[in-house]
Amino acid sequence: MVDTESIPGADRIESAIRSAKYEKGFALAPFLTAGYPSLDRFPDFLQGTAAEADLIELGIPFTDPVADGPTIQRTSRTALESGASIPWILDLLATTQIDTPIIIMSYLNPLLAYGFDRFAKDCASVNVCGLIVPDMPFEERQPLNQIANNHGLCVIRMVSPVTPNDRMKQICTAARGFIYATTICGTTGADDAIDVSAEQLLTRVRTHSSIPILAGFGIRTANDANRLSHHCDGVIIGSALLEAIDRNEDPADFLRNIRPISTATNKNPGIKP
Amino acid sequence: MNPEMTENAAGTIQDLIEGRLPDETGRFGPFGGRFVSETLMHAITLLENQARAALNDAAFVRELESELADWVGRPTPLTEARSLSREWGATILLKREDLAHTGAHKINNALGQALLARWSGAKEVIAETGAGQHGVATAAACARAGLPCTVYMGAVDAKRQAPNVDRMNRLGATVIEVTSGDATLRSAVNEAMRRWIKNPETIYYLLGSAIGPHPYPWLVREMQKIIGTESRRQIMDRFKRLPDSVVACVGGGSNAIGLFHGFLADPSVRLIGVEAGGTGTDRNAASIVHGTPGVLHGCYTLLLQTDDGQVLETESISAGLDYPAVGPEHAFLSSVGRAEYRTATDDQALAAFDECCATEGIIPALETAHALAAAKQLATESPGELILVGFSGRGDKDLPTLRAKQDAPNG
Ligand SMILES: Cc1ncc(COP(=O)(O)O)c(C=O)c1O
Repeated sequence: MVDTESIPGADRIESAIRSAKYEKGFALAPFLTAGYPSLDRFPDFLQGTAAEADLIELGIPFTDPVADGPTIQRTSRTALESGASIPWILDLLATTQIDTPIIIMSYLNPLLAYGFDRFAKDCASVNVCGLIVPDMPFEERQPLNQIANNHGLCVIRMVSPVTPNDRMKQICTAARGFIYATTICGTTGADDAIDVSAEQLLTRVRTHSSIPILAGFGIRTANDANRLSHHCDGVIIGSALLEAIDRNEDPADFLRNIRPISTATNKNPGIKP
Repeated sequence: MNPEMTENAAGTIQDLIEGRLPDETGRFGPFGGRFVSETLMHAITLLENQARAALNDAAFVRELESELADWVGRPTPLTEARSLSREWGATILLKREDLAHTGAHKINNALGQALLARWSGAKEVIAETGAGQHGVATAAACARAGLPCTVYMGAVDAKRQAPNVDRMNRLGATVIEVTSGDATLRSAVNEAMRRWIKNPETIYYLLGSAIGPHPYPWLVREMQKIIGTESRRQIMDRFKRLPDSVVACVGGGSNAIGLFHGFLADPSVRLIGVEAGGTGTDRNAASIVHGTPGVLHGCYTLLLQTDDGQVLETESISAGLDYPAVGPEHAFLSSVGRAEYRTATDDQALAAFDECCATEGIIPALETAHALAAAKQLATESPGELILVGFSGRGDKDLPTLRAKQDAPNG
């Protein structure tokens, strides 16, 4: 029922990814910890990142990010110390013009504290299209999934290399927006080399999914991104981008390095969306 | 309460007594559930199936019972604390988990799960520890079961419970000191979960309290309910009556839930959990008394948190109680009014510790001292009653903390 309804946020995400795949070879979905490195400097990083992104993922910092590796643990702590919070990020988005579809990543507890309905409503009013909640597995997706849908947002579903096939099918069938395939088991920012098992996972997801697939976790270089882009529709880059910010690199430059755009040569011989 | 999480919640104390809780979603009423990454879902589903199969397997149960008797030393004694009874004005009975192998109730769960890990073909065991008692118990049980073992321990705890770090090393475990976050139990759980998520198919995560995602709160309680079963039988044999109150300290809540389960179906018995009161209402680790509902470490339970849903740092002299959440079954027992929860402060626990050492000749763990402090209070409130105290562990591990306190200029 809900799963086949039109969800405006999901539609925007899907079409952004499909056009990027067609026009630029793959979609680029950078992740930023909201409020890092400071509340003052974040808005510029957000603008710079958004300019190069097809989709932008903003992480609400949480004190106990169990799915995250050292980099996002550290950026989350810094952001919390400087006062980042859900009301702060929503206020910022309300006063910032960003055309790139936005996805909010948050652990469940800050969302519970804010209230699911209030959160979905406030997100919808500031251009947010979807939510990612890493500690809310498929079995626990309600009631948030329904509440988000009611406000035109989708909740992105994740799959991993150890997701069994029958479960993968169930998850993919109900998913909207895109499937987030974590190419390795582990936490974000891993530096394990991307290997053939990542490609196998993406191929496996493809057989079950009719919506776009983005690969994430441990993608650090243009090489990683290019290699995986043959098996999916785009990549999510978080820790490596935050580390570039730490090195005083311009996030837009960093992203242009990951996906050097020369529209003519990168065009994917796909079907125009 | 979050209306979102309680809408469809069902479950009564009768459901719990008759074994219908946790339900198939791992909930005790609204509390519990499985809030973990997709990567861990398969592992916890498998764990539940294997645990249920093992606990129904006659050979597995026979081995567990025989190891509990001959290696752990169960049943543990029930000691009448004659001096404390006289001083406090009630009959105080101590269920002596300090006399179980490795010195605390933690061994009941560690042994059961280590055997389960071997039974299900795990290659490696990891665990978190606060006071170090669960780490020592896991190291010992893994040595016995022939499994390699790694224990995550907050750097603050490794320092204040140094004797237990030595014991884990001697027992062949690798101890990893965790410096992230607040460097106590809660950060140790975070790190253990991050390690588990890397190899969910070969690692067995041996969680040490009745916390975490389903099936852990259920599994740990099943391993610990022997404390309550034995106590009830021992009291009925000797006193021909039930206790008026049953008191236990609550960190994550494993010794308390194990003890309480022996008396759940006896409505006349008051069940009293004691949380760490720290240095007062602002600085403590009392998640039931001072907390609000939320999700941490895989379950919906009561938490110490800010209005924004950020988890607070806790404070307690006792490393084993220094945790910002509590097992979901306790949150449930509190919400339906079957158990009561109160706090004992650092100072109250220290006073009870001294009294117990001096008059009973037993050095309690600082965790246990919180239960003793509450028993003293209860005796004052209703003199003459029969009070059963879960004597969860021995205090040798706490001697460095106590020494440091003594040496401090104003301690
Ligand atoms: C002796 C002792 N008692 C109690 C506890 C608290 O744990 P739980 O609440 O799970 O029984 C600990 C934990 O380390 C302990 O070592």
